Amino acid sequence: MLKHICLLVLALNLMSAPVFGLEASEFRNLDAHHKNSVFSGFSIEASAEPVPISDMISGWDGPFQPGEYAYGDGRIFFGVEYQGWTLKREQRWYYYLEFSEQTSRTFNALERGTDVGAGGVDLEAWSFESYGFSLAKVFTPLENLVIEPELALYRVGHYQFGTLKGFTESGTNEDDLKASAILDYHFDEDKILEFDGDQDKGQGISLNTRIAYQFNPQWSVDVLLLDLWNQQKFDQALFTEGCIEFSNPDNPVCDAIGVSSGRSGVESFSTSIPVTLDSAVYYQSWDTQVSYFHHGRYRRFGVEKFWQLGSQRFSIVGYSDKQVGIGWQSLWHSLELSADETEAARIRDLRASLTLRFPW
Amino acid sequence: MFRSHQGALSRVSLLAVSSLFLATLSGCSGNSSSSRSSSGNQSVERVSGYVGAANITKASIQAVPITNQGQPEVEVGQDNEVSFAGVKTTSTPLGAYQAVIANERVGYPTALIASPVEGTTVLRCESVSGCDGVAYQGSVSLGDDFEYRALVTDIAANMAININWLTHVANAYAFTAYIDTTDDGINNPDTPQEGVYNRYRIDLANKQISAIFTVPDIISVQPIAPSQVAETTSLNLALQEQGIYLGALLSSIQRLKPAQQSYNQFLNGIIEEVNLRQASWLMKRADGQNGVALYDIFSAAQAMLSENIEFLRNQGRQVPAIADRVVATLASRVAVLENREGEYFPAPQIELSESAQNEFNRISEAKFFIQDLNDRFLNFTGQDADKPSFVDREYVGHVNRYINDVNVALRATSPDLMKSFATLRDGISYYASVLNGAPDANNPLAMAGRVQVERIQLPDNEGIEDETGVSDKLAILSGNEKLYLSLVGDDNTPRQPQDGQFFLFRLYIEGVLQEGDTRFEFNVGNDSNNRQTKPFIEVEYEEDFATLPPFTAAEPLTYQLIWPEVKSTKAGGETNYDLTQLFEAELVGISDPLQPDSEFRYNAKSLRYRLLTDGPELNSPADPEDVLRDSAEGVVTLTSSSWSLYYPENKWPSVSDYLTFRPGFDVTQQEDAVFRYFAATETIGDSVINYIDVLSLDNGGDVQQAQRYRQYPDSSDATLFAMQRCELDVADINNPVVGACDAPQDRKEPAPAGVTSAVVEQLAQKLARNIYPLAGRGHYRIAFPTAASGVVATLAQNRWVELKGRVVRLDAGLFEYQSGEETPEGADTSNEYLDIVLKDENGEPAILQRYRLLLIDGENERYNLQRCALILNSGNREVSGCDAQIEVSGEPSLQNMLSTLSDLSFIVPGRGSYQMQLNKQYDVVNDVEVASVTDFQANTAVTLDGALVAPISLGVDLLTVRLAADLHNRNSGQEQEKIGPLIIDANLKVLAEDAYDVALSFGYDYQYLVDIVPTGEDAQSFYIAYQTGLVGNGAPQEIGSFLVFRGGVSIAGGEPESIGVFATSIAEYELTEENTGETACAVANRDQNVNDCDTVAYIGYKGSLMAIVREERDDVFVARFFNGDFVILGQ
Repeated sequence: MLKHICLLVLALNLMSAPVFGLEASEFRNLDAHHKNSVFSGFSIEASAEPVPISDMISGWDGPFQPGEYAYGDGRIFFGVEYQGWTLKREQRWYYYLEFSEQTSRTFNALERGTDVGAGGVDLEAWSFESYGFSLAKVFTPLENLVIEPELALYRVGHYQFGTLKGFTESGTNEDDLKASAILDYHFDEDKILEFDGDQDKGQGISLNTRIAYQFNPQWSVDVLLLDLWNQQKFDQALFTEGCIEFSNPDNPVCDAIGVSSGRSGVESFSTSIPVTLDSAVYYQSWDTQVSYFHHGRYRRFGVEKFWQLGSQRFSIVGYSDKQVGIGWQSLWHSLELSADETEAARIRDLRASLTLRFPW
Repeated sequence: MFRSHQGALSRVSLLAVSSLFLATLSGCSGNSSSSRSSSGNQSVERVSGYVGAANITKASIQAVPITNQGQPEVEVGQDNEVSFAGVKTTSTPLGAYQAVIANERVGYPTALIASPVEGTTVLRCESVSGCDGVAYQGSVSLGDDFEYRALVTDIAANMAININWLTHVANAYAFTAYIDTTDDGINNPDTPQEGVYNRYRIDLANKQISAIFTVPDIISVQPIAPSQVAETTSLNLALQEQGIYLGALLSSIQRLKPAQQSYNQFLNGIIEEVNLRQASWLMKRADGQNGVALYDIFSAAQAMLSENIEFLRNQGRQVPAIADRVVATLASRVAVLENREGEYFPAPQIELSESAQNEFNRISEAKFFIQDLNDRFLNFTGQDADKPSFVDREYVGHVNRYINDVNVALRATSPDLMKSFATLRDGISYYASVLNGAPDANNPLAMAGRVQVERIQLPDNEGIEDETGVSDKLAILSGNEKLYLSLVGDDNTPRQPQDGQFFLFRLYIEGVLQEGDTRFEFNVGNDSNNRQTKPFIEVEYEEDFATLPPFTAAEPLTYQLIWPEVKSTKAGGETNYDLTQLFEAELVGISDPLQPDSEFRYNAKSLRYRLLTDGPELNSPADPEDVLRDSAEGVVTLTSSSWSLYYPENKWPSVSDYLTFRPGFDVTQQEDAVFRYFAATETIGDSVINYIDVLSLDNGGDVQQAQRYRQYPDSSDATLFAMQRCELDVADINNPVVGACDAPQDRKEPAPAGVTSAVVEQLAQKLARNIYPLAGRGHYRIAFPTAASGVVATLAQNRWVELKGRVVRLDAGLFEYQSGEETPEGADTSNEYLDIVLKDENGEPAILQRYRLLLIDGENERYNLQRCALILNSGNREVSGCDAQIEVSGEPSLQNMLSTLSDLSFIVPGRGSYQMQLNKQYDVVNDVEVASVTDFQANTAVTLDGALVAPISLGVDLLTVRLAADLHNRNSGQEQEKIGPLIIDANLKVLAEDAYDVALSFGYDYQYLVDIVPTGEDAQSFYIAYQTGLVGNGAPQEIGSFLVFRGGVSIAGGEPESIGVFATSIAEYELTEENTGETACAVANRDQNVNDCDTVAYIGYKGSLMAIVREERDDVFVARFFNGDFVILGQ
């Protein structure tokens, strides 16, 4: 069942959330922001350290390397910009899983039926699907400084939040696994057992901020902070907290009263997700920028070279996580696509976005 | 010794056992000092109360006990309709009722349920301005959906239980029983979920709803409706005030309910909100907020009461001042709520009743006990010395030591026992040869010089006391020991033999037979019916004989063997044992009547074996009663079903013959790619009608036959349609051409719920009964996808779909009918008849029956039918016996009678049930589909084919195994004391695959049996039963019951006590041949596709329902308790 718990918390959300990413690219289009327009698009940002993204969904049968996180953020949006104000309707699918390398080894061993070995299990997971509105306003306190705070209010539909902490002693499968762990799990739909109850959708709030500063005609910096302050609140969230024990480990972390025991029910619950930092320094003479992205344990540097061809702007980008990609922007659109592999089943890191803009 | 548990295997019995057991364990009792009355043989108590605000009349009221599964008890009527259990009563014009409950139900949770009575149930309008068009004090009709419930934790005699919308809301809150708490769980209940009642939830809900409305008790306070405040009452002032207050609140919904909603629809909205908000209630609606707030209710109550008081006073009625005080009270509540928009009145903190509190407190105790029990079952015999076990490890050691010791003795005896059987067989064979005057010198016993014929003078002993003269008795010699065989012919049989001849012979066995080093004593003893019997073998023959014929000359029809006591002594590993065995068997021979040269084979009608093992005396006390001796008993019995009809594969009874069909006589076989169908619609004239094109395919997949079946629906009755068959040319499969058509025939078929016109699945249902001959393949029926009860499931439309074919065994020329006229012996008048003959494989008559058509004077629509058996006497048919006459509706004619007979099945022993294949014309007469034979021929022998419609299999009517032992501690250096008796009792009934009924009880160190459960101070026992089968609608149902008794258990260091746990489970699903992706979720049919499988088990502890168990993931069974705790059971 431990494998199920990991798998379910890790992966089952993905089945209903095929799109991940950030909307940073939209903010990057500096020119567009000062025009009136209606826009629509999507963005995906995903990275899974231990296995390819597709394995996070279908099971760990591909290449494995010990890892500490899996992250995905996908959005579909449309909105309107008018005189520095931006009103946006957005649907978002988000997950972030943080775990120890040993946890990923344990899960990988269970998936493949190899020896689990002794070690800790430490998993923390946030995931939700949300839909709501955001309102942003561009301020220019200094000639070269742009600050654009954005407040997003949203309803949280499906959600899974939980922690699993404990250890494994030995075993190769669920029948001979010796393990003990404590589970603390909040959800709208039970992916581990089948507890059901009356629950309400949650509410969420996120403050995002973009700061852009032009040092001189050659140098500029653009910093985007997503979910700088955020909270997801549930008046009535289903929960299961319990103690899980397999094959009587010698020093269990809790008293499972057998295989597993605990309590399930409904309670108010609130949580927040890690902040996302997406920043870039741009050097005009080379038409090149250096970027840095940070979300929890996912960190990435990048270098992007641009070429202007008439009203079109093309770019090639490379990231420290081995992603290579292209960009194509015009007054009407912005497209970015990069990945660390060409074969879809082997992609661990992915970034894709498309925004269509109709200025007036 | 042996007790039959057949009765305990039924569902009713299981539940009864559960109740009895729990009552015994928990010592629960009702209010025994209350008054009682008697209804029939059952002692009953009465409860009473008011319905609504004492203003709902002619409502049906039932006091329905809550079952161990936390559900209102239901009962199934003869028409399979399910209704609540309990005697119905009706509320009076004063809105009062009095209901009865069985005395044995006193002290248990009970639901009082008010429901409508065929449109007569009415509510008095309490609003001076009228209610939905009904004038003040007029009768508002309550719709068919009306239902109010009220719940009590421990019903008592003469209890006042009111039933109104507040109790109904509390009921709904109690029923959604999963709750949770993040702290102590008593004063802060969280959201409930599952649909079960228990005391904790009932008490919590009643008290919280009472507290929200500041009513002392919504169950017991007698309401006074606003329109009745001026009426005289016997209530004191305090109760009168409470009554007026409650009556006003109860009447408030008359004003609040929207006109387009029924009362229950309106209440459902309130209930949903209460459940969602965990009994906290919106105080006042904010702008745009929906729902029914407390402010709305109190305001409406205040207004209605004020208006009533004013109206009544204007009418000159004397309204007591206490009513004004209630108005003021309601006004103050309204004032408090006035400025609380959008706020919720928190769920009140209440003090639970003792019984509810106890039930709640038991949850954690139960959780640990059940988990401990789970662990003990997983380590049942203490395999792991470090874990707790169900059976004491030391006890297991004693039992194993005994079993191992006895096994040595049994293994040593077994070869000699087999030899003794062979010796007896040879002895009987030689004896028969002697009796027939030709002693068989080649008989092994004769060759070994072990036989000796002794001339005896009759009577010889009690077995042949009626005989006189001389006889030959055979002695089988074993050294100095002799085993005698003697023969008695019995002419007292239903079939009377010729003088000096016998159909039945009994071979008595007496004496001692020595085989190897084992000495077997064949003693007189008690058989399974406790009759003292001398060992014998009884054989009955088809023909009568003067003496026992050699087995090579004639095979008996039946064998019966009873050897009540075959005793031997053998050394075990440690000591000697007396082994006393009982053998009983009844074998019935059967041949295939349609296969003249078929071998005679034997089915076991019943078998019984008992082994008693007695060890030596373990001590030498002065008092013989103090003698210690290990002893054990094992009994196995088997009775079969269909033993007279099934033709086995083996000559002698074999396990492999059970629950299977004779090869070639199975109706469940299917073959792939036999049919294709295309269901669609076409326009005929102005009508759009359904049709199904059916193609039958040869082995190569090419079309052999093609037909179109059209369905002309009836305009007013969805069960009726006309069916027409047309030839079809499918040279171009995409453009089939319809050829000649038969005349449409009216047909009737049950319609799916909700349809207004016949659907194509009804047409397919008719086609599924057709038999299609396919050259080179055989005969088939179309295997349309079917749901429960064999009803055709939804058909694919507008595309060709390939289907399997159900293989039909069609025996050409099996039947022959011939009509005639006769005057039976002793009759005054002649009658017409039809002889139905089933012919054997050589075409000779094998089974002959005559069906007499007996006219009823003056009747043209009815006649009597009588079935008679025929025998052939020199080629002439003679009636040998007749059944009673039965009345049949329809025109009295031979053709009509043949039509009736064509719908019947004719059982052929060894094969199955056959139907005659006749051409029929269908019509619907008086709303009944009638089939008429079209080509009846009088006074001539007409040969017909027969189709096998039902096969025969040998079932296990009852298999029982009982093991009992009374053993002692034989460990050296320890006291030789009793270790406590052991008992294992198992029953199994198997009528078909996946249709069985099994029960097992186990216990040790017990003192006595409470019905089937071993109990006692230190007893550890359990009883488990499981039943699978089909319920009324043909859907499978599986019911399980599990009782555990553990004596001498100390919980949390407390005093040792006896603790009982019960669990009942029920699984319901619908089998389907469609690939639903879901398979059965209980024990049986695990590989079958099903619709909506639901299995749930209810666990009770110390008599209280505690948890629900479901398989929440594959093989993960979760017990969820009512405080939100859960435990995963199993390993």
